[in-house]
Amino acid sequence: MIWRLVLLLLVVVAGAVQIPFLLKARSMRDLVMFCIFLGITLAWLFNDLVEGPNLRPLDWIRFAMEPLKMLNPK
Amino acid sequence: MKPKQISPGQMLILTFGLTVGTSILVTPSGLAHVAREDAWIASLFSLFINLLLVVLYIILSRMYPGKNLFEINEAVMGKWLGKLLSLLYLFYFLILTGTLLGNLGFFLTSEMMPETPIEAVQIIFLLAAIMCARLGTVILARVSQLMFPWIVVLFLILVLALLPQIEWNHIKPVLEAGPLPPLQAGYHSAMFQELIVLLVFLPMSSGGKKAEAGFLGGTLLGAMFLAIVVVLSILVLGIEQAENATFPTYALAKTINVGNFLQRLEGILITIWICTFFIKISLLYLALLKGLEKVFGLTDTRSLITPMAVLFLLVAWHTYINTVYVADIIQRVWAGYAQLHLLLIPLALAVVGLVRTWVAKRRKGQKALP
Repeated sequence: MIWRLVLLLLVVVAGAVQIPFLLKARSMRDLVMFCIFLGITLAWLFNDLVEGPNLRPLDWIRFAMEPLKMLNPK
Repeated sequence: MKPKQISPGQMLILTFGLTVGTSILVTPSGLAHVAREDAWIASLFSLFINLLLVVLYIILSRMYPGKNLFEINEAVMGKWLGKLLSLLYLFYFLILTGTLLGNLGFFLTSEMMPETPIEAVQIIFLLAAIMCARLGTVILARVSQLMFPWIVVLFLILVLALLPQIEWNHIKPVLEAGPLPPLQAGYHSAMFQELIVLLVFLPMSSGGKKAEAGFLGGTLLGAMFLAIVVVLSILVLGIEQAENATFPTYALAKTINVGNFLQRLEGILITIWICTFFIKISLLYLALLKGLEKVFGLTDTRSLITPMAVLFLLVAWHTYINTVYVADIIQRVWAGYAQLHLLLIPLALAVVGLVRTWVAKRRKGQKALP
């Protein structure tokens, strides 16, 4: 739990530092991408902190590869 | 001012680092599980497959000179389909980086520092990777050049110290189950080298064909290192221990005992592994940043470094849940998933590219006719 709080703090500080810098640089794409990444990491951290559903990317890959099972080398 | 480039020698070293990467620690058990005593034949076949894959990537690179993987995707498949393909690769690189980070933490906390929180190990390592990502590819190439002699010397010490413990009977019988198991194991193992990552950096390399030679040479050198480790694992540990150990190369290093004096040299292996692992993780990190820059048309990706590092950690914590779960995924799913990105998609890109070139030439020829 403590480690997720550390990461949350890091992400918030990164946001506070970078967003004004990106606004000053007048690069809308960079700002939007940064906000998207920030949003994803904050959402995931928040999900972990409130003990929400356990997200498992390897299970997503397993599900996506299910129709392509014949491609799996033996 | 001319942009800084990677020399062919640096390309060789980066390829070597990527090939050896994490594989040096875990490859012997996977090969031994399927091929048994013929794991050494499997590792040689894996080397051959990797060289063929690199030739494919070089062919793609020559068809689209000066373009990296993401630019080739768009050049072949069109803007939007190309971007979608690039996003698939970016997701692959992201999950791979997170899983490798999880592997690092698991190994160090299970074998060396059991009382240290796994998160601490991963965060400290990631700090070095963040620094590397901020400084760029050329700096990574120079650091790799500094690390390379140490990796080679330490590896030679490891090999020489293990030679007195070789039992040649451990490698018998040869091809008892026929050639199919080692060929299957070798192909499966080749899907864990991820050499496609270097197609992102090949255009950055100077020297044209010398860079391609560096790419091939690094693959050959790295795969030879892995093959030597696999052979030694079988000859020294025997098949049962090589197959059942979670980290057989670490178990191998622990057996070093020269004159009851030179012992506990597993630190040498850890040093080699950390160096090559750092090269691999940094290359993946930089490849992700380059990919995002190309796909989304960004001017500067440095702002994404910190959130991406946090994302790596989250992926690591949610992929490397336990060894049984990861081993199951690697055995049943990952090779097929990797095969898609390492072989099938590049092959499709090469074929589509060749067909388009042929059609364009025919049209040009028809237009030239009176």
